[in-house]
Amino acid sequence: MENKRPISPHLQIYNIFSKDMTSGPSFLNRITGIISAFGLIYLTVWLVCLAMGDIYYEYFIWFITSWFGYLSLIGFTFAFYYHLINGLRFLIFDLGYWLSRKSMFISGVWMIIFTLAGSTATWAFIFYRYILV
Amino acid sequence: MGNGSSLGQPDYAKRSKLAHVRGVGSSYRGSHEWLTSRLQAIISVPFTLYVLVSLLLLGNANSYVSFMYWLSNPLNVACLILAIITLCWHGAYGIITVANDYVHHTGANFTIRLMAKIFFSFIVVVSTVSILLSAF
Repeated sequence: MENKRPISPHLQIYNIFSKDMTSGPSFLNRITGIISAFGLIYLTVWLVCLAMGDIYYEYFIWFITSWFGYLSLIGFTFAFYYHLINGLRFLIFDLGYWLSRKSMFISGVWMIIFTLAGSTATWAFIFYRYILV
Repeated sequence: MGNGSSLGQPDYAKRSKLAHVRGVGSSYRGSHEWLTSRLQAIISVPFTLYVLVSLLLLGNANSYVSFMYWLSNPLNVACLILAIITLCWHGAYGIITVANDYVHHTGANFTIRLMAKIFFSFIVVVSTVSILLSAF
């Protein structure tokens, strides 16, 4: 059953590459939120393997240290940092601050810098602390 | 709203839909979902950051023994469970919001909303039981 009632226009009316950095980061916020939700599945599997005993825990460690495991963990890290930092930026918008076009642009640039720097620093820490040894 | 007409219909049923909306006015609950999702997001941040930072600083976090040692602290167990509950609540709300915005087919929309609620409830229960079994 298709709902025929009129709805407000959305995807097609936004300029996602506008310098305001509002609608593009908003779409990406939803995408990264859904990716982070998949991270919750990994977390649950990890905890279930922990409860089942050390043999199953080793199986999970084997999976998570495979190329696919590392790739997905790095993806979750970027998605989580993005969703966290851009979410805080949107919370400040919701409170009524930083709503001039200049502030939106500057906060958007800093949001991207913090996301890239934070996730890179996290994986550099993990690499030197846990993988390189 | 009146008790109804002589035909057994309430007054508003005979009016046009626009007149109905004008007569009823605001529900005063329009911002409920919006506000709830923001509050969920805020409350999930401290628990999640605590769990992630303390696990990163735990030496050799991928070893079974060291993670079991981390779970012997009740504060860590509580924060992990609270992080999972708040994140799953926020996740279910987010999936439902996305479904309401982009999935206009009524059946598909209903199915996605129902599956999101069932799925995240399942994840909360399974992971909480696993944590408590491991910790005690």
